[in-house]
Amino acid sequence: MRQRIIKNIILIILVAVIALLLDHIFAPKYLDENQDGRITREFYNEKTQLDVIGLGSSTMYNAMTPVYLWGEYGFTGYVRSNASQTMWQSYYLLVDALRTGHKPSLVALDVSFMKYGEEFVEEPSNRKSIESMRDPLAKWQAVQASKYEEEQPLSYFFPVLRYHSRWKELTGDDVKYAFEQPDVTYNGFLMEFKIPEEQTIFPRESSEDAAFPEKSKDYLDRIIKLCREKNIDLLLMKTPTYQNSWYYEYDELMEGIAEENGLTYINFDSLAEAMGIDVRTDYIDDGEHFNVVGAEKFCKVFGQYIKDNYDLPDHRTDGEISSVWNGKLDAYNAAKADGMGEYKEAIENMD
Amino acid sequence: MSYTSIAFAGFVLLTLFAYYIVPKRFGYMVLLVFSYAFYVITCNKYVVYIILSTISTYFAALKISDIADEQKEYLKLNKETLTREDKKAYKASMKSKQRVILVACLLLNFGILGFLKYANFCIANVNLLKLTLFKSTNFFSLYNLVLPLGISFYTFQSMGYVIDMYYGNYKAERNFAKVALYVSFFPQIVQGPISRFSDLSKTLFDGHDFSEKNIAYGLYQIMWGVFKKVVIADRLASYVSGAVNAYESTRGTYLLLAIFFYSMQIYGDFSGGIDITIGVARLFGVELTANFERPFFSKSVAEYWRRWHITLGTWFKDYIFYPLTVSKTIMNLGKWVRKHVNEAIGKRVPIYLAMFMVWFTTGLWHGAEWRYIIWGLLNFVILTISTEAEPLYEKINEKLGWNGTVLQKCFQIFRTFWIMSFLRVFDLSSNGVRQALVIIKRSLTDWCIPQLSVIEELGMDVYELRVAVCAILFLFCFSMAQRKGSIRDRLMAMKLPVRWALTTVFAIVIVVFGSYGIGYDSRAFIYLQF
Repeated sequence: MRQRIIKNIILIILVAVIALLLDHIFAPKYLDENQDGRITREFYNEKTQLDVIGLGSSTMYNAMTPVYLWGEYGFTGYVRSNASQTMWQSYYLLVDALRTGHKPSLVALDVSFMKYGEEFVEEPSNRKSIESMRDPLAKWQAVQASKYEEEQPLSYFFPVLRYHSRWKELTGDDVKYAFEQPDVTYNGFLMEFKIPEEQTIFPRESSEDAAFPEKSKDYLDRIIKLCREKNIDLLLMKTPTYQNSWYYEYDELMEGIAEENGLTYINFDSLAEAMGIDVRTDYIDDGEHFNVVGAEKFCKVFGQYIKDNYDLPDHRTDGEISSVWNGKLDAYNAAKADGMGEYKEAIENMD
Repeated sequence: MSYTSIAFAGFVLLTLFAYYIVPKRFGYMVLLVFSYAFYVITCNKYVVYIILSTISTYFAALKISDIADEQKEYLKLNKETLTREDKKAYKASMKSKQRVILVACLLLNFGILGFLKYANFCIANVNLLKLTLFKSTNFFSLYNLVLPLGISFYTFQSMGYVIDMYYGNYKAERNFAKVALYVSFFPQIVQGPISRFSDLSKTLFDGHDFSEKNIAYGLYQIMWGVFKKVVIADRLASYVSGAVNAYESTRGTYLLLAIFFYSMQIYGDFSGGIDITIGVARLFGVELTANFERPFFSKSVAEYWRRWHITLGTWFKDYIFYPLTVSKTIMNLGKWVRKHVNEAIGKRVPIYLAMFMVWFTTGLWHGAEWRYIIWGLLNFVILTISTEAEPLYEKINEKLGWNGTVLQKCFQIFRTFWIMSFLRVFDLSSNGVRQALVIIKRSLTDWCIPQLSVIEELGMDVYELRVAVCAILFLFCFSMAQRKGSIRDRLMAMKLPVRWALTTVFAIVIVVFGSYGIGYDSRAFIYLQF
């Protein structure tokens, strides 16, 4: 009988290993396209303590380039942002970061998504933001806060239940990269070289009805409380964009929230000119997402602001951290040099 | 809560845990509590209907049984004093009392079922009649009715119990909780099988010790059911609906494929669901009656109906067909025909009249639409023709000289399968009888060489088609293997690692090739507007 129980236990473990293998093989790797899907999972490859964690949506992962900031100002950082990342996802990603061993001095929160409430739920962005989270409780809570009716919470923990239909498109790479994949982001920054072939810029507008949804306000409040509890500085910000739907009144509302909580809110739109941003050549679209040139212009000012206003150490003199981060910087610069040809060609072909 | 959902799996696990930690004698109470929890979770306030059915069933059965006991006691006590006529008169009066209770109970329960399921159908037909005959558009308005979960199944099951009591088949259960559990046992509430009290009570009420055998048997049957449901039925559904929705522009060959697939789909769906039901019940040590016995291997329509939805068929046979055949009115009618028309026809009248009623109600039971009634009556017509043409078949078979050969069996199986498949088109055609007739006509006449691209347009790409074909072939081989005995028994006789290996492979097949969930579309994951 005892032998039978032991046999059964061994077999259960074997089945669990097979299940794990299936999960890893079937989950999309996001290596070639949809690379924003890698931002959450690559976070756990970061072994150095982070000084700044950036949170927000896609505008943030195209704007904040931690490796460039390291090169210029010597602090370490990571962007935990995803496409259409809601405020509640930002909150749980911060919880997850703290529970998995990081203790940043500063959290820079891009508030572009404050305007979207419960009605804004997209499965792909849920998956990209949450699926790779490591802290099980934060992950479960993030799933509960984000999922819509058809979604099966358990599939966030057993991805094969979600991606089983990929059997038609599995390639050798799905097996090769089942457990280990190369980093494709630069500490959460997605390096882009494109400029739009055509561009339409809509002027910013006003709206008397501008208001933030309750759920977004609630999760912003939670982020503020969490940072206060953990003694982390919080910067409320918005990257420079030409979004007509970010009404002037949103700035007023954000300023009110910041003032109420003794925080700073900066809409970097106002500094776009000082940054030398050219909407035609520094964005990949209609003035919303930066390419690498725009991102660096932004980070030059953004980093200076952080340096001037927050007490962050310059680790460039720290041999251990420097060796890791200078390696990142080399890789970043090499990739940038590689891609700039595409950028220059695009500029030359511009009307 | 779908039987193939993770929520249901969690619910079953929780129930299992509770069932096996309480003392055995309270096992049925646990099942009752969880059955009602399942019902309330699934259909909320409509639980009131099942409660009403349970109360009426319990008291009616008890009263009928008590009257039978009282009669037995009285006759025993007055054995010496009563004359034969006295006894007969007494029995008749007692039977009459029982009949009043039975009829009241049947009226109440079938009344609820009839009203909820058929009221709008009747109103719609009356309105149509008014329009056709009197050009009146002064229509009666339809009710906003919701059909409570499993009402057709639990009503038939509980009424079968009361009718059994009336015929004195067994004594009434005096424990109300047990009757309530019999009516509401959660694994079978959604789609049957329609169990007899005498069968189900053998294992439902006595608690069971945790047994590896029960768990393994239950899990194997559940897995088999899930395979049939999610790998076969749900996969075929997209093509079937694609072809049928575009029936007017789809070539006959593709419709024929849809008819074939629909047979597989409905079998996978229904028998798969029943396998899950039986498997879940087995986890608790409860044994349910089989509802399918490889029906697609039937050699005649009559045999098919003995092997498909067996419990419904036996319900109609025992509670409608037999009572009608021996009822005074129909017997007298038969006698009259024999005397005034023809001896041979007179003999057949009671049987065919009863059969007509059975198939009319079977059609109606399947749905409140004319296409279901027509489907039922076509079954009646085919069965009647089959019976009447039996001597002719014999002659033809003798001439062909293939009696008992494999070729003849294959032909009979093929013929039966396609007859039933074409009849099923009425079930498939949600737009009504005309749609069914067009589909049948086109599928028999408008043939072409099938193109994969068209099949893909109708909802099934080449990968899905390959999996579907492999799964159907596997089902066929599995069914062939079942003829030699239970697969589960053979599996249980294997060494533990082999058993685990086979089970794991099968589970992987279900997880990977199952047609469930949202479905991954990499295009949907491509960065959108933010």
